[in-house]
Amino acid sequence: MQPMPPDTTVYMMAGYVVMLGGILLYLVSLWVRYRQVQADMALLEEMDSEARKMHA
Amino acid sequence: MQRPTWVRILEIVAAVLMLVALGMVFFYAPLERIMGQVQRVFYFHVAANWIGMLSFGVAALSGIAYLVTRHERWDRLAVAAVEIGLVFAITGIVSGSIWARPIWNTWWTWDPRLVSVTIMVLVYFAYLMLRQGIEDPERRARFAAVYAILGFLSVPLTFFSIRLFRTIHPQVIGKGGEDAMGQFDMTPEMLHTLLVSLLAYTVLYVVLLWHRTHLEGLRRQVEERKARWQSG
Repeated sequence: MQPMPPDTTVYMMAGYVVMLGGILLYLVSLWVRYRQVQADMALLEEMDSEARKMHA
Repeated sequence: MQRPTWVRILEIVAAVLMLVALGMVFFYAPLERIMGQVQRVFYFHVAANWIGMLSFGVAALSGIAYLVTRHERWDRLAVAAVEIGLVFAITGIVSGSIWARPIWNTWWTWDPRLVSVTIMVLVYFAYLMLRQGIEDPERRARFAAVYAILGFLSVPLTFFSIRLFRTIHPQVIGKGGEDAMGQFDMTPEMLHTLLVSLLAYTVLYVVLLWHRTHLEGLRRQVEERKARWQSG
């Protein structure tokens, strides 16, 4: 009879939580940074258009 | 968010491939008899480390391209590659540590592979710190390019450490050393699963690299416009 392998399921699950969680966290960080940059861009655009109006 | 069609297509391909790879890991690859379920960590662990090393290679090539052309797009690509490389290298280290607990009976040991991969990660953390410490963009890009090229020496050192030194780390390609703990013979199903995992991670990497490089470009545009406002 073949010996049963040890039960290491918890370690396997922890490994995949770390690897998939790492990717997910990085995706979230990219999304947050995109939003911040877009908000900054919109603000600068508004400031530019205000400045153009003042010059006109 | 605006992005080219090929990026949109690759995003979908990456998502599908990741799901296929996960399906193969859990339902196609056989259970390894000695280690049990934890052996399944191997497929994504190897893929994560492959992306770490590939990404640091991309950073080194970008460094060379920057020094030759002085075009800032190469600097953007390099910083994106280092950041993504660190994310994958760190998940590779942590997942390896989790695998090691039941197999080596310890979370961590100062084995040549573990030491070399730690040095590699620290080298690239220092790359990001170096960038933070230099104000002038041209000077920062030049120094970072040289550093990325020199820092790449840590990558072959890490890759070949299990072949050059006496180690307990298993060897995927070729036969492992006498001291290797957790070595196993790959069945065709295991090999297929590993190859699909490597492909899934590589496609995902291309998508992430495009997004991070694009984000860096937008960030620099914002910085330049802010600087113009501040200078009046």
